[in-house]
Amino acid sequence: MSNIISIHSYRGGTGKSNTTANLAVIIAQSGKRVGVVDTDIQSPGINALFGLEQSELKHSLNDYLWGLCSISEAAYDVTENLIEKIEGKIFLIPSSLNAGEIARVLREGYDVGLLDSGFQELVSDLELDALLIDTHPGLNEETLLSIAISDNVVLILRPDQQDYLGTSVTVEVARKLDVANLMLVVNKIPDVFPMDEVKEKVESTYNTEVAALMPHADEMMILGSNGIFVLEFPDHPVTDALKQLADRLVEE
Amino acid sequence: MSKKIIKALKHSSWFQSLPDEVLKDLATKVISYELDKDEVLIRKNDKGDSVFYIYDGWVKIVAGDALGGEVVLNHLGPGEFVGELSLVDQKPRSASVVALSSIHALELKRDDFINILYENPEIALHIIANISSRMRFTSTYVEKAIQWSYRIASGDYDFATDEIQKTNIIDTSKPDDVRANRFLDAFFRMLEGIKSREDALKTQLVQLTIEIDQAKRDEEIDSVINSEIFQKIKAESTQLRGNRVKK
Ligand SMILES: Nc1ncnc2c1ncn2[C@@H]1O[C@H](COP(=O)(O)OP(=O)(O)OP(=O)(O)O)[C@@H](O)[C@H]1O
Ligand SMILES: [Mg+2]
Repeated sequence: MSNIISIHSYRGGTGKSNTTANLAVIIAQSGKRVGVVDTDIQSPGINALFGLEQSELKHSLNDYLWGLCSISEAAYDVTENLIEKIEGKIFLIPSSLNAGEIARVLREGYDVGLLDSGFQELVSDLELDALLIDTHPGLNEETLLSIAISDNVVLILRPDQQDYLGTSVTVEVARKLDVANLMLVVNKIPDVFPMDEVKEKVESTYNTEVAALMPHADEMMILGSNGIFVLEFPDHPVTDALKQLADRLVEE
Repeated sequence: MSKKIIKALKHSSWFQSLPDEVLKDLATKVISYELDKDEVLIRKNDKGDSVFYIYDGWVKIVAGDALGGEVVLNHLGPGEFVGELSLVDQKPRSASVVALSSIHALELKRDDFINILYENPEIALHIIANISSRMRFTSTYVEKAIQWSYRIASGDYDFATDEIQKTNIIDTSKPDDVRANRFLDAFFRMLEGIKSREDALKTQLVQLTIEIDQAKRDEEIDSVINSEIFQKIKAESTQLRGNRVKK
């Protein structure tokens, strides 16, 4: 049975796309077949992490949602783009980077129900062991849907006042949707905070497990979403945290 | 009075080797001071044209800090000279000297001093010895201070405990040891200050406070779960998940 994992955050810029891409690589390193869907149709971007450019895209998630192609036709095998050979496979289903197409989705909308059948199709067509969903921040329709259908929901927050209320709302909404496994990830933690205190505080505030704590890393900023952090910095504490998170997600 | 002064001069490293007649003559030239605690012997910026010999009691050398407070640079005690540099360079006093206890001090004017020096050049040797020992003292601790400053800059404060232990073996009868102690004391006090400020700052930051406005939270949750979209997804989700499990 395949494992659907959504990566969310209430606010933007928390590290969803980087976390998603790195988790995909770690899981695929163990020989698994992993799909990654960029459901952030309004502000896509995970393609950059996998070195996939707009000009290489024949189809995107948008085409699928408009009935122009099957979802598997919008899937790109990006395994070879990685700087290191890995055992498994990674398929990326990007959202269109074309401004006109983005505007059209915002204007006309689409049948969100198609997302769910698309995910099912992907899992069976590509024989995926895991499907990762990168999302748009907030609690819009796609987000609610992906939370509802996921086996695992990873909710990322930063130790920042701006993130606390929205995260709390999202946790509650996810509970109401009967999510099987909801876990929090705290990212961009400044090094003045002791990790165990952050964990304790966040867990007691949200009554939810903190599955990973990631320090703020200059290396991440320097990499600038131009590659996969865990491959570039295999010995970094952020890499350790991501591996721990991947273990936690795959064991479920 | 004069006998007492001669006796005092005889105890000093500079003049102890002088013949009695010279000492007697010298005794008529020095000005004797008896000050109470907190009285000022030398005022900073005053004209520097004499040297003081501390015969009895202790003084502190003080400079002002930027806030008008007092910074104690050193303590000097019986048998020590103060202000001797002005005999050579005639510059205004670089710091004030204040009595720490009731003191006896003798002042010798530069002109009289020069005269004695012409007739008894061996005194110069004592003076040089005196100044070099202070220089040696200063450079030793300047070196230490530089070394330690590097370690502090790199966030290493642990050496302080070791060093403090070493400084416990101090002979309080030796003026240089007393001075060293003062220096170390000031240095380590500074270190403690830095460390505790840093710790305070850390605990300030460390105490991650998560504040959530409950009313606002409940309101937002309500608005999501009462929305048509949520209701629809909620209704379908059980079925959606059911489908997946069956596959
Ligand atoms: N642990 C970290 N330390 C430092 N910078 C980080 C860390 N994690 C992510 N970043 C940086 O934060 C920025 C946002 O990351 P990312 O795009 O993954 O977030 P996102 O949640 O997907 O954003 P959006 O909501 O815009 O889609 C990027 O510049 C990334 O390099
Ligand atoms: Mg993103």
